[in-house]
Amino acid sequence: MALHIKELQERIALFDDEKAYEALYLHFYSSLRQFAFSILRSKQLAEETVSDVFINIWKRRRDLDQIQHLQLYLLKATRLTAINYQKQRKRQSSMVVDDYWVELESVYFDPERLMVTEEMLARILAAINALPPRCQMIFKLIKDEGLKHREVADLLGLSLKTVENQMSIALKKISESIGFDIYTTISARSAK
Amino acid sequence: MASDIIWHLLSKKLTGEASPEELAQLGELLKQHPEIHYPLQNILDLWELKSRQETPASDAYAAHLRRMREQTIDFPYPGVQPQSTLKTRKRTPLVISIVSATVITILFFILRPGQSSEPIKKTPAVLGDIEIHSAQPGLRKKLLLPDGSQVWLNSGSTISFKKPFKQASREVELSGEAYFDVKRDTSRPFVIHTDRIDVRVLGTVFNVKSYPNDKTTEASLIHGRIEVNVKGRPGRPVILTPNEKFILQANETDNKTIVRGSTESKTRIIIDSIKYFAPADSTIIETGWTENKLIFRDESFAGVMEKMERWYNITIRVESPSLAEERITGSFERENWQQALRALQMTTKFKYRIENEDIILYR
Repeated sequence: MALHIKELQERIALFDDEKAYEALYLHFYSSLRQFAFSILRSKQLAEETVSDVFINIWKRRRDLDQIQHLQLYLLKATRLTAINYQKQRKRQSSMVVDDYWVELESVYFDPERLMVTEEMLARILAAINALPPRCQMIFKLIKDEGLKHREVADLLGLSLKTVENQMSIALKKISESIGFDIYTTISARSAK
Repeated sequence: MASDIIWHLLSKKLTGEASPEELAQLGELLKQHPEIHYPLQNILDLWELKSRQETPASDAYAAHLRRMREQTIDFPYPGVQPQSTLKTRKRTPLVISIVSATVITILFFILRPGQSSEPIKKTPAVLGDIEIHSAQPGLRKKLLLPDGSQVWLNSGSTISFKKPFKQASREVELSGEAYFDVKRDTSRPFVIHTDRIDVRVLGTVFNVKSYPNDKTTEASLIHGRIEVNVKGRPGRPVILTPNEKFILQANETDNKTIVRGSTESKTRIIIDSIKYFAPADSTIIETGWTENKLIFRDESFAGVMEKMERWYNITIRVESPSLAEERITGSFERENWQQALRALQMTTKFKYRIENEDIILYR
């Protein structure tokens, strides 16, 4: 997947390739929009944020192939742009990390590929949604965006220790919600 | 609580950041806490699955394009006639390397068939059904082979192949240095013929260096596996695994450690590991030139001057033997040769003058 992105970067930087630009946008749209939304709590502004990020990508396309970790770069750009929008709205004068708000329906697992029961899934989703906002954001960045702990720390301006602690908390809470219910286990196993 | 460490270690395992010691420690802790096996297994099962619902982005893209148009951003909007200015803005990689000195990133990817973009290349010379591509001295060139493989030619290098390319095997002739990203095709091996060695690959990324005037021929492997056959020594191919480098020496002049050697003839075969520039910098020396960097590490001054001659297409003579033997380490990216020499003068004592079109270095 990373190889595919590098190819798009090169096509855009060297050849002004509009199709590659579109492919890049489509690839990152969901993730960036959601991240922007968690900061801004406005779908409209989240879309504009992503659009602004990609306008900049186009304006500075000559150097696009020099960016090593484009996903992280885009997440950072999205965060900065969203913060700017927030400042403009004058709701808050500075970014407060705890105010990340994650859409309830954004945590979604593909039921076709599950090896757990639906009931188990429901329990896990509830546990994730019950996590404190910052904790939940960190968990999603690591799970869905595949970032490393230090990358999350870098992106959110937190210490590595904080990110590691929050992940531990998230995993522990999720596992507590899964619990160990022998009857559920037996019926799940025999249902397979 | 002791078991809290389990979550910390699990977190690192999930991101792939756990060291072998940490994984072992996790295993040990799990033995002590069997009640955690079940939830842990569920978490591991779930980890591979996407948990974000993908929202359809094509509508959003259309809205984004509208927004760009409102801001009158110059863009090849689909459905709009491309202006002639757009075509002149398209540049070949070698123009970038001269004019704007943009670093070209090493690309580890495999082109899928049917790509809409094609690297613009100079019209290749075609002799009968042979196609030839060259990179002029001082320049580097990237090209796309008919099977989708990519080749970066270093200065003063030439590659040729018969057309049609799609036969039982894909074969090219190389003189000079090239970096290959070969499209995987197990039914058709890719073979590179040079003066003294044949390199056979399936689908991989590597560098081959075989300049006519050089005493050594080298093949460096970055990804995959390649098989190197020395001409005149049939039946004994050398197989390289990633980060190995094959060096064929015509005669015994250098002091290199022999890992695998031949005692039959004067030809020495050395397997060396590919040198990285410095531990913190993952630019590989052998292929630094594809990033438009000239890199040397603990090399003789004379050797570096030879590299610079090719890199900048200039002629350099080193008059003082003591200067020629000095060892230097460094890298150049966007400097022209005058800046490069001045940079070297800061750490190595020498002067230079220009006679006719030669640059003479002396002490």
